[in-house]
Amino acid sequence: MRALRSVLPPLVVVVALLVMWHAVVVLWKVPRYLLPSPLVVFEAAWQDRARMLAATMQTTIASVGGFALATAIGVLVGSLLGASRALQRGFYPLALLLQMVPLVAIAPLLVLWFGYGLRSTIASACIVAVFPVLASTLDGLRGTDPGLQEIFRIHRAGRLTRWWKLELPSSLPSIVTGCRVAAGLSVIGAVVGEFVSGYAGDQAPLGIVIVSGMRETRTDLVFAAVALSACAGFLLFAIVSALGWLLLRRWHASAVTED
Amino acid sequence: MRTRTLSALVLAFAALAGCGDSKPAPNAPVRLRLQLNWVPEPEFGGFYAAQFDGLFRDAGLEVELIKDPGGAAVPQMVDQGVCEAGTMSGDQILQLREQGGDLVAIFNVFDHTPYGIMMHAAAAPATLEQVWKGTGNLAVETGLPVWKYLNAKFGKPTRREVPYNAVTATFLADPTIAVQCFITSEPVTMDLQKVPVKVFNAGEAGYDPYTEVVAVKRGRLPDDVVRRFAAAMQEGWNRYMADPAKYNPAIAALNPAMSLEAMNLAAERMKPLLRTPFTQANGLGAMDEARWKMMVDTLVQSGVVKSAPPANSLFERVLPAPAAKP
Amino acid sequence: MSVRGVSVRFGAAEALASASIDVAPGEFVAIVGDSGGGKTTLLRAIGGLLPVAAGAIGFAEAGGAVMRPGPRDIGFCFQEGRLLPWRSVLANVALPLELEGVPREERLRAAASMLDRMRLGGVERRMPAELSGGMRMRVAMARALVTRPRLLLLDEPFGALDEVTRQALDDELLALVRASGATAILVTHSIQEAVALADRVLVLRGRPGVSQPPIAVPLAARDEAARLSVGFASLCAQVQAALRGGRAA
Repeated sequence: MRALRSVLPPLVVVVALLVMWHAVVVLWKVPRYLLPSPLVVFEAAWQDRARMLAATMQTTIASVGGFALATAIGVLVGSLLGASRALQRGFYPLALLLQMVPLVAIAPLLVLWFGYGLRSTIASACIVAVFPVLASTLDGLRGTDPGLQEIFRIHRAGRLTRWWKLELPSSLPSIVTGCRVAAGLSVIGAVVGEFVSGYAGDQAPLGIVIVSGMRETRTDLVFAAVALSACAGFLLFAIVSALGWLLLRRWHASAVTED
Repeated sequence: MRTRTLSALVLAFAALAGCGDSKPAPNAPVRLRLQLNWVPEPEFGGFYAAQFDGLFRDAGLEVELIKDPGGAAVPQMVDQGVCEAGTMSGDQILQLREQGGDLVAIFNVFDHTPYGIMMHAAAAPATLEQVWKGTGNLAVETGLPVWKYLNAKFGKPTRREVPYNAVTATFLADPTIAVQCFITSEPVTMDLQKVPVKVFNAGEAGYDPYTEVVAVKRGRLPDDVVRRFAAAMQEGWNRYMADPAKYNPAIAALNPAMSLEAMNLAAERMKPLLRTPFTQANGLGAMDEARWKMMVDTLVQSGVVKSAPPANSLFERVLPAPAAKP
Repeated sequence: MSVRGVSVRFGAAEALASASIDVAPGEFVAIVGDSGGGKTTLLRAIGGLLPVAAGAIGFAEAGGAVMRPGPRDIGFCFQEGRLLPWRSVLANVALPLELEGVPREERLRAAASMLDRMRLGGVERRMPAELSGGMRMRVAMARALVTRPRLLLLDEPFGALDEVTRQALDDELLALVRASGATAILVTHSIQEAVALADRVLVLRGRPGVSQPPIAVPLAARDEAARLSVGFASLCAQVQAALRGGRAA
């Protein structure tokens, strides 16, 4: 019952928006290449459903791969930076810069370095997703309770022990927040990477479907592919949130009081 | 190097938000924005020649040639009124028709398609079909009807289809790759770099539509404006084909990325594609209904479009009748 | 353990002016003083958490041999409890042993038996957030005692609790300390608590504090009745006087 209560409001909003969208298209006689109605988009997706499904799978794989990599790198590098003020001052601005560079500009470079296909797509998904994880890890580490730090100091715990048994668990709520942001971003990164690195053909990912659709003036296909990538992003976000809840539910306020 | 992708959606919404034309004062020159689908290059040479020689002005037209570094959705822009005319491929007119647009071609540049497949000479097989059945990468713009046609004709390529992007670097780095090429572009670059290549012309495989036409929205411009526009373009192209070297320096000034040497070589390569028996008889820019029909039939057969409008609804004959041969 | 003329500075500020006391093994000493006077500072210096600016703190065996207490020998108990919120009660109590490198089976057994002894047997699997403030402090005490330390340092451990809970925990603490035979030093701002628990009370007067001669608390019984006795009240007055010093009462 409670699940229904949380799903119903956004569902109602989505349906209302779809209806408005369709109304606009019909009332203003908007041409299909400009704004296809949701029915047209759905029909386009349905007709090509095998290809759309395969494409979504490909993009999801790349996103998950990029996200996992970003989490590992983000936590590790964040921990390294958290351990040393000097390292932090030196490298944090660089990490920030990495986030500022537009992905569309460096995606072709990634193809040169990693080749076509999944490798560069995962790389571009990772690049987009790594900074939120890194920043949230650093934030979490900096917020470690000094009282608890002292307990570990009293018992002469080593650096690594302190990181593994105190700082990392203590930063988990912050890291989870960063990961939730990174999850959605990784899909965007994957799709943008696919523009320049994806294989066409039967296993073409969503990015290629979008590019190809644009060329053929098939705006309905483009919308369908965009909608599917949004779904993939949402799914990834939901999974990460659920994992976070599982990890935190017994002890952290954010999970204990969550709906 | 040549794409027609990316910003279509953003542009579409921008166009939806604000389109409209203002009525010019009578006897004032008619304002005409011609949106090109690439940067200033010999493939648009005739338009620039008409511009530089004042042919548009003489025809009572104030023509603005707008370049595109890549990504402009030209057919949509013309249909929405963001510009009055645009260069595009003939199949885009047909595809847009199915998606709710209504454009007509009024002028054609290449009488034979300038698209092809380029490979390193050492790795190139004898026929295009063998390229399709070969191994290695195939870098083409996915979604272009010509490749769909070839896929249908030869079967799906055994090569891996990769995106057409940063082609020069990719081609130089990969000895077995087959890349899409445009007559004035990639082969010229390779020749100037003294890299031996073999070019397979896509038209020789059986699909040879009009790939660079000037199109307008049906009914938007008055008939006589369209005629004057087309006539000026024709004269511009005549002059450019007669002496491209005269106009190329000015074009090169507009596009620092392409050297004058490359432009001159490209213009020479273009000549056989423009000066054909058909255009000798009917004038540069003229179009043949049979070619449009061939395109429609092929695209319907390949499943690119669902319906087949009459071929003569896709273009208009607005050029002056050819001068009698002396 | 002996403390001789110890003073502690934090940068330019003197936190503790001078403190001296000799503590016998098994003795229970309470430190009282004005807030900011340095009682916590003294405790932390004794515990080795702060360096001394002047003076010396020495530890000697019963026979006279000098020793340096390791982490096993000292147990800390702080006002906030300082339990790791993501660990169960059992894992929290086992933490000091874990950081010493004691194998898992052994340390969990030791922790469990400690909890049993404190009649906290039912809460092993619970998380600290699920416990009341009083329970949390008892878990913190269990953790402090799990290594069977010879010296127990407590920094206002029950300061955040209500009066009733505090008295109950005071009694429990005294019983535990007596049973284990450890030496205990308790910092508190409650004179009543100091007199109720300690064998001797060390008063730090002023800010920064200067220690006064320790006041003996010769009470035999330490129960409810004792707290209401006249002797108790007069001892409290004595401590109060030492605290106020030359100022008008």
